[in-house]
Amino acid sequence: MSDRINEEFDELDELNIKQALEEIEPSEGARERMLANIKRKAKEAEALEEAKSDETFKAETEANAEAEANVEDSAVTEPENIDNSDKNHGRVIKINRVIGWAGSLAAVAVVAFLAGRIWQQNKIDVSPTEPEESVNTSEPVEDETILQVDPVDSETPPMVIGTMGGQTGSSQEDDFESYYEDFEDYDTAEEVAAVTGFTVVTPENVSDIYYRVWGESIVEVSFNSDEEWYTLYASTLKGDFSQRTGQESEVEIIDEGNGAKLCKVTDEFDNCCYKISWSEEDINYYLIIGVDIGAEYDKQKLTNIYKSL
Amino acid sequence: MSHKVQSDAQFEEFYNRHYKYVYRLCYTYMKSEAEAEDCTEDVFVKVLTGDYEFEDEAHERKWLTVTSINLCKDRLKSWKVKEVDTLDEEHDVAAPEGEDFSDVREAVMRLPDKHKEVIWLFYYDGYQTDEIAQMLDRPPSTVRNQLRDARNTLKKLLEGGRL
Repeated sequence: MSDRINEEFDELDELNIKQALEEIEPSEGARERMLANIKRKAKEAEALEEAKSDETFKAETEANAEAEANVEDSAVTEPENIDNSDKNHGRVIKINRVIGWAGSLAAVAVVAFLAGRIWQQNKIDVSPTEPEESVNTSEPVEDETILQVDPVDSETPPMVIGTMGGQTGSSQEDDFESYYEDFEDYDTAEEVAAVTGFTVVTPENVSDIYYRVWGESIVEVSFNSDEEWYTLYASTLKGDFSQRTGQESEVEIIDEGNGAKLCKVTDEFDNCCYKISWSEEDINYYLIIGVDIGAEYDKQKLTNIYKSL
Repeated sequence: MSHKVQSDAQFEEFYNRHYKYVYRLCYTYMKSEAEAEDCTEDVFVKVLTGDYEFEDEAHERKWLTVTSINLCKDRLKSWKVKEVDTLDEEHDVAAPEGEDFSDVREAVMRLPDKHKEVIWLFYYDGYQTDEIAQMLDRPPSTVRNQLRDARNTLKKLLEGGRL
């Protein structure tokens, strides 16, 4: 699918980005200096880890000893049970045994848990996902290079870059400023609602849900269902902010109640997608199937997703 | 056949194979030689203390890429290095005789993080957008959008624009 898109991006190869970055070289002596520091830091990290585990072991031992002492103390000082001393003695022994067993079980559980954690940490998935902390896609860019975006004109929706492929078109290139960096990614619908003031509901049983807000006014939700990607746009703005515009065909009204309209959209590059548009409670929605150029999409699948919303 | 980096000799081989790559990636984020060296060291410390298992060199590279990006972003966030404009230090990078790509390099380094990482992965490492999506755990459509945004930003910067 993405071959054409990848080719499109190849345009920038003429800028020699790779060569430009390969000019970055460590300074003289850096190889040896870094290697020595790595070995030193690794030793320090291991020593710290050992010290931590020693402390934990010591603390656990002390806690166990204290707990056992408490049980024995309570057995000795029980005032009202003199006549039943044999019985109580048996109970104390049983309690001690139970504590012993529980301690053993807990120790086994802790060892198993730690082993599991270590195994998980050390195992690198075949698929190259994040091995350590996750790459935080929702992290707002906070540095000084963040782009200043003009306030959104409620009557003129900001440009949302289409995901169908190379359909950004020259007009968007000319109007670059209007959509330039004008979005933020979020992790949950609640975070999105806090920004936009309305909640976008996704169907149940979908996976890989990603939230993006354009210009603090247009919500873009991408999700996967049955190995197809869908994109839902929602906003109080008017106009087709989905930017999936072009020649409409196969138009049909699929829901008289809210005027939901299904159509096939073909743009000037012959990229096509299916789109359902509707309005509810002053929110305008666009539901799209298809992010790939030249692929065939099933409008029935899109309709099913719409009905499950 | 998977392998671990266990002995000193294995680690040094591993380090020699990758240290320049990791340094370049870290430098692109940290924009300072000292910070880039420090981050590079910390990435390799993870390898040395972590007992990781790699399938092949490509797997090593992917792991190092994602780990380096995460480490640099965390460092930038926690140390607020971003408050210090260290771009001037970029000129310390010695350009070879002949063609000079310093303007391109500087523009890449000035990109916001989410653009920088897709540019690096696509143009430097040569991953396809679907592979990048898998590595960064994002939908392919998001990666393509970010790549398109990054490309446009880069063009603007190279035309003399400011972020």
